[in-house]
Amino acid sequence: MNAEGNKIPLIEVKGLCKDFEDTQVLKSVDTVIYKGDTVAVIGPSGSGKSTFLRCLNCLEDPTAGSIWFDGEDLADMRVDINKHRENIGMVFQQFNLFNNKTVLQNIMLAPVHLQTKKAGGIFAKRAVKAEIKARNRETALSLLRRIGLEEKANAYPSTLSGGQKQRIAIVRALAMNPKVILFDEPTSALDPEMVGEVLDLIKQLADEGMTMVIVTHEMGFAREVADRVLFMDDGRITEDAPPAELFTNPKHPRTAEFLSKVL
Amino acid sequence: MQKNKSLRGFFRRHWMDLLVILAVIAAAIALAMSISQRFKFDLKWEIFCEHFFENNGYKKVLTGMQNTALIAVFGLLIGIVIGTLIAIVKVIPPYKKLVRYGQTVCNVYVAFFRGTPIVVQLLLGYYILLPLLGVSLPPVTSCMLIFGLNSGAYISEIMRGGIQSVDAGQLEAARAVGLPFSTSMLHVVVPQAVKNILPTMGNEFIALIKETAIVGYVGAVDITKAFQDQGDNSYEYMIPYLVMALLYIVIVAVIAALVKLMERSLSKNERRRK
Ligand SMILES: Nc1ncnc2c1ncn2[C@@H]1O[C@H](COP(=O)(O)OP(=O)(O)O)[C@@H](O)[C@H]1O
Ligand SMILES: [Mg+2]
Repeated sequence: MNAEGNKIPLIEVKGLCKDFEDTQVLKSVDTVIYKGDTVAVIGPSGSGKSTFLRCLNCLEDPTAGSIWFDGEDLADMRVDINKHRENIGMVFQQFNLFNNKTVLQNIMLAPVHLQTKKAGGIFAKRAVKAEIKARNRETALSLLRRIGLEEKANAYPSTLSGGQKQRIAIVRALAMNPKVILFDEPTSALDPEMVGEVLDLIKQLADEGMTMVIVTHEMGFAREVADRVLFMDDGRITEDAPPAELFTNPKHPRTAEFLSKVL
Repeated sequence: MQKNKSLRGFFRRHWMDLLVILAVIAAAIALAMSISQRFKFDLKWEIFCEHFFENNGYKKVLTGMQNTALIAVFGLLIGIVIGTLIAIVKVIPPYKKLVRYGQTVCNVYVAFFRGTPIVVQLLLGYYILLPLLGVSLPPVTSCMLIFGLNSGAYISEIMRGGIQSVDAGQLEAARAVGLPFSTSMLHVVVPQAVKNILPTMGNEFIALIKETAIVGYVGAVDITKAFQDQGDNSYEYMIPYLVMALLYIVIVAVIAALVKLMERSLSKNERRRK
């Protein structure tokens, strides 16, 4: 929010459509993600939540519509999508830590690579490269300290629990200093006893004012943490309201039906 | 006493079988002796030893072993580089025209090298293509190059399978943090693919060693050519060829054992590393 209490748009989605071959998965989605907001996306399985999220950083290229971010339309194939992805973190259901890298390397790989590239790539001075590495190592270690996994810095992902993997995946996104983080069911692949530690970390980020879009089936979490909840059904956002409103007084019968099943 | 008794029981029960086995062994020895007499084995062995040890035949064989190793090792290395590049080009999503052209070129390349005998490639390369290009390379170097190009075609298919066996989430995660496609492939996907196909690579190396036996066609002296030459010099081929086969078997067995060892240490690392 700025001084007048108005919210500043970070991502503006207009008429977003996505087809896979001949099936229409997203049927014109319009929404705005505001700076500092935590937006939960809920809805029945197969309704297009993941596809919507993956269109926001163009892991899926939109079929039609626009996604305005940082003054550019990401749906335009001519924009440098890599540049924007640096500012849009993503956390996956299956963690997707790099299996061939240690925890520290997982966190450092992208920032070191991209900063070195900006400093001249392979032509960068050795001292500059070393400085970039050292600085990112410090950042990575302090992030690991924050989640209490500093002693796992040199461990490989295969030796970690699901909860540890997911928290490291979140920290890997944070290391890029993104403007927004997208979460696709971050706790769905976890054993029940590990869900809490991951949700706690996400909650902390929400409190710190990180902008987040979270696809989730954890209704209690959505209700507690989200500023807004989007309900998706059959490729559309059919309801968009603060959690207190959406959970207690849904406008659409489909929303009510879905909530009665999951609550 | 118990043991003795059971031994006697064993003989009583199996004397017929034992008799048959003894008869077979005796027949085999008799056969071997008659063959060795008919083929004058001792004489041949003498001639072989004379040419191998006294007329420096072993030196040529050592050179041959060195050349076989050089051609196979550099062929494999060149093949890995070419194969990895082709495999990567083949898995790029074909949005851009340039990518589609690249993929067509790769397909033609692979089709040519997999569709023609390696001898033909060797003859074409050494006697036609290199002279046409105005390049004059020694036979062994030419063979490294041509075997490298050839194994590149095969390795590209192996590598593509390896890349496809890596979970798609790995590439997505790398792309999602803003890494370009090429960096994501080289730092995240290809290293995991290589690990998956390492045993297959070992087999490829062994195949390469055996395939190099034809480099005599272009005048390179490998193991096969070295023994052939000894046969030509002594007019006796049987023992050189038998020893040659034995040498190949030993080399292949040693490499197969090394590959197995490497595989085992790799999987051990995975479990032990913290
Ligand atoms: N890569 C794909 N190819 C074809 N169909 C897909 C693909 N990804 C998703 N779909 C289809 O799109 C629909 C929505 O999927 P998804 O966005 O994953 O839903 P959700 O995350 O809400 O469960 C599903 O019917 C799914 O089968
Ligand atoms: Mg989903």
